[in-house]
Amino acid sequence: MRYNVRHVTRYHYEAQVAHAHHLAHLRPRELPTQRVEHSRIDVLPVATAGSSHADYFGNIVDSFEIFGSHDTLQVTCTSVVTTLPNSLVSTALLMNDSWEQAAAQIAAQSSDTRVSEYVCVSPLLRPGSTVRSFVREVFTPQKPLVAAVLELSERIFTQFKYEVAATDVTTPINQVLGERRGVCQDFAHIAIASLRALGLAARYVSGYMETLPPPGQPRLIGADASHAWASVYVPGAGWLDFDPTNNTLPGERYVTVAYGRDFSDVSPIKGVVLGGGAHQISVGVDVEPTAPSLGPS
Amino acid sequence: MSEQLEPVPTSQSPGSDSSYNEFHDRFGNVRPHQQRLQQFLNQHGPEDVEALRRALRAQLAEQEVTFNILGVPEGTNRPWQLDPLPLVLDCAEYTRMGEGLKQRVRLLELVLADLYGPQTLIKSSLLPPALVFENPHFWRECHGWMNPQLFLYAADLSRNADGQYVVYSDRTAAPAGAGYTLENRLALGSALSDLFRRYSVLKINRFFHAIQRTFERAGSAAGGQPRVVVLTPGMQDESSFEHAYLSRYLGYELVEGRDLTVREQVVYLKTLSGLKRVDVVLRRVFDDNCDPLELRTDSITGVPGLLAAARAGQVTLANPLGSALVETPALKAYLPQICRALLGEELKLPSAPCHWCGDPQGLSYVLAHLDELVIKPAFGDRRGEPIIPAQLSSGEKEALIARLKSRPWQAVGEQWESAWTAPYWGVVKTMTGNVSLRTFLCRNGDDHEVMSGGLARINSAPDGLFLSLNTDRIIKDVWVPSPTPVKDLPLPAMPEQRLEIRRGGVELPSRLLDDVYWLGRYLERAETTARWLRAGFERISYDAAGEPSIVVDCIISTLRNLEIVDSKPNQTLPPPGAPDGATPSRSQEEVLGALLSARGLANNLLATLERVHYLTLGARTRLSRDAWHALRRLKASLDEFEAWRSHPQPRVAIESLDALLIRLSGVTGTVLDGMVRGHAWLFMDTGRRVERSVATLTLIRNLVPEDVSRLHMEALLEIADSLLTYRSRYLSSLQAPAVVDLLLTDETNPRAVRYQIDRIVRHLESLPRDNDALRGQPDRRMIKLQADLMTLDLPSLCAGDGAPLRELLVQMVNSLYQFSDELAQRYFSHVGQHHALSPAAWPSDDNEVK
Repeated sequence: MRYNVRHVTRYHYEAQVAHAHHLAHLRPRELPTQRVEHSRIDVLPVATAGSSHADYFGNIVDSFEIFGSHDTLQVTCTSVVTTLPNSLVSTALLMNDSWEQAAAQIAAQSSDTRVSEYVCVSPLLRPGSTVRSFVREVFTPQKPLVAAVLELSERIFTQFKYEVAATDVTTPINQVLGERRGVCQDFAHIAIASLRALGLAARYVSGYMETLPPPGQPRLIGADASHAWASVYVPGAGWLDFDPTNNTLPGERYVTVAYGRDFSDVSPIKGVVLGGGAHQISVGVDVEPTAPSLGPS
Repeated sequence: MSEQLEPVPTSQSPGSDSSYNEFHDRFGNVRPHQQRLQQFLNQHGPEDVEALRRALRAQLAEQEVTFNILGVPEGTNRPWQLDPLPLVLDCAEYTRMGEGLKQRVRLLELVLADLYGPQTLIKSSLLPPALVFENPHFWRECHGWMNPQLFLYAADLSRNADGQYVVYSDRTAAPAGAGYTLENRLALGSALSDLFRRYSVLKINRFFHAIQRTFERAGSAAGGQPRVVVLTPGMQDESSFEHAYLSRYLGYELVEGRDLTVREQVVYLKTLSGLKRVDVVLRRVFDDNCDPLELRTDSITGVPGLLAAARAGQVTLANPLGSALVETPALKAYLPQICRALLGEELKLPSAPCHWCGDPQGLSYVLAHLDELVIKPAFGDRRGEPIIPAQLSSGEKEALIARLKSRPWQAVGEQWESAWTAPYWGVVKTMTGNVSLRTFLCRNGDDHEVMSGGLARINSAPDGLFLSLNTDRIIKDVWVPSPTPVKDLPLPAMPEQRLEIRRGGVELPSRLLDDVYWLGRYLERAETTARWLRAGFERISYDAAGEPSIVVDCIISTLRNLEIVDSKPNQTLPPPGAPDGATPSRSQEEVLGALLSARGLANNLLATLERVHYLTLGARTRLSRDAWHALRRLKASLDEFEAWRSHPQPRVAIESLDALLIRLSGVTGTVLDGMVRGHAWLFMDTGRRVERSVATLTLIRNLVPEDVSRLHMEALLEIADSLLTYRSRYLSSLQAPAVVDLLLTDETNPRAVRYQIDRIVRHLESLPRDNDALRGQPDRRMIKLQADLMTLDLPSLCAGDGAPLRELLVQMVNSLYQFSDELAQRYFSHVGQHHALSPAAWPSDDNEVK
């Protein structure tokens, strides 16, 4: 699939900002399952200086600076992305190893930093007894890893209520587990913390999904907004994405922006300002399917 | 040794098998390198040594070697005790130990290069991944570009029973203590100059020169003389004194995060004459707090964009961000194998035996040997005391075991021998105590230079909390005698006034000028208030039997007009002997007393002096040594006024106020007259003149009331220090227009308002302007005030009840206050506090935009 993605973030400040530094994880990264034809960030007022680099996880980070008084800031990221079918999903679904075998294999290969990084405790996800007892209900002894992950996704989907105002980015996962409500970020975090509590490797994925509400069917949650899901490492196959918010396996209708250990690694926009007082943020996202490019191949 | 000197009396028997005594060998003989110290002790009785200790203590207290703000009411006062006996170490042994430390710091640089690069140590299983990936000091933001040069490194060491030096902690982020070492050396080196010369003690200034050379080289890539700054977390930091001392010795500007700004990935110092590029930052701020954009977002001590500037190679950070990673205590357990792999050598200096519980073998060892170990946080030992399981109750121990099992990666178990002992002065005699050592290395080209000295600490564990606040400590200067005698060894000294000569006061941080402006205002306010209170107390003493003086009332109302509030409602006391039911009103004496020294009153003399003290501490790197001492002596007045409250005699108050006024004139002399005529002086003098104008205007208003009397005018002239001038001009004829002219519009009287405004106008001419053609708002306001004063029609203003005059005086005061605000707006407005934005909330229907 080919998409035009447009992600607009607006800040409204109570007082003038004299000088601002920002960092953005907004431009989609290149992946085997995703080609980024084009992506750009536009900032209003026009940034004084900007640069971009790849972060530790290989995501694109844009940094920009605004020197000059302003009380609103608009950051628009536009990109054209082609998503491809993921052959790994079918391979992974054929794996029959139990989750214990998978955990043992990951432990034995702990020198593989691309995997061991995601078994470790991360800034927002500290394992606790609540998470451990939650995951033990699903991960019963000798259950095949992939089957257990799908069950975990389903359990989160059925037992948790999607509720926007219930949480914010600082809500700890124990509270989400207790209250059984939250947003996609919380659900991804619960899935990731659960898997890590068992010695498995899991990572956080930020991005978008296209919504296709067929007639008579409900609109999928997370539509036309930035979205987040989880990814689990299946030894012998690779990273398998799963979306506990919608209980699906992300495919061509998902656009990946970045991945990291948890939200804190891929926060879409960060900033430090001089002045400004209190501020409000508004966000809008469009994921628009578009015809394949007819340009020279 | 055949020649047996009388052994030093000690509290312990020397040379027990389980410890290593630095003074005696195991047979009780004085070690060769201690013999001169032994001779010194033989020649000097306990009285001499005790006198030396006291003198050192007084000297250090004077320099405010403390961990916190001194003299400020809530500040804690922790001068440490510098032992009069140095810790003398054998040069050959010390050099060997130094070689070991050089290898160690080279190794730690390679570890940083690997972990912030290819991570082969993890990939080849030399380090467990969790030790790095779960480590809060592993900043992924620094991965892939960090230039792992440890410019400054400190190690905490002890010696085991065999005399082998053992490393307990590594300090690689912002090692503290080098400045304190310098301060101790300067104090003890001069106090024991004979012994110091006889030992030919190796100098530590070599080390500091190496730092300077290294920074000059590191910063000169940009071309020209590099600008180096010392970044301090601020006065509230426990080591702020050290930062000030070190920056002064090295000749670098001491700055806080808010003095710096990053624009287009270049670091600048905000100064009055614009932004000045900074090439090297010697940071005393721990990694986490250096950049709220990419590191800890709640940091207020950092500089947003600093990390990006370093990443772009536009600034050198000493030490580089991310270097705290190798302070990790758990790393010690893996260093021997890492050393073999990376350097192909054995580790020369052993570390204290360390077992990381995140490693299953480590955990089982720790659980099996709990009582022999000390438990510390695995990733950083800066917080909290280490746990000593042997001292825990069985319940506490079980809780500890449960914690170790559930979160094993967070703890290490270490074996502490604490076997090193040395003599120290125990007030009446020499005692023997456990000793530990912190010493320093700095980069010198591709090599490292070891400081020939350091800080030694008596009677506490070598736990890495070397400079922690928890107890009073005895600190020793460390002397390493040269193997070959040095002739005419110069004594250690602070390079005098290097800063002021080099900079000419042009490139001060704007924030500092703001402080200096207020220092000028508060100094003048203290002087004015003291002068008036003295006049008030004197009149009370003369008229003790008579009616309360009108003049005293005028003084009190003037002070009130200056918002020097003398009472809170609930503090009002009836005057002594007041009849029951009478309106409570206080005697003039009580009110004057409160204006002098009541606690918690806004703007009274005590509060003003406290602010002077506070600003003095903040500006100390900018002050000459004499100015610093003159300002420090004001502290004595603070103490006197505190004491006065319990015995409030007017006579004593007058004496104390006299003393204060003399001290203040000392400040005026050294600070204002002796200061380079740079921006700092301009702002300080402007502050003084603003305050003096406001005070004089308010005084005239209150002492030229409707029914102005001879008594009022005399008091006015006396208080304004202009009585003699008046009499020389007008003899004894007292007339309001003449009196007002002398104090308001006479441009030749240094006490007159006109004189002050003329000076301010001249100062403003010397300050930088954005546009040469246009005058700023503060300039225009002062020129207008000057013109008003030149064109006043005094006789008609003073005619009748003088109401037009009083109204004009009020307007002028307001104009000066507005000027003060405009000045701040014009020159200090970019001195603000940045803050991090909270991340975008999850989108909901309400906040979506299309």
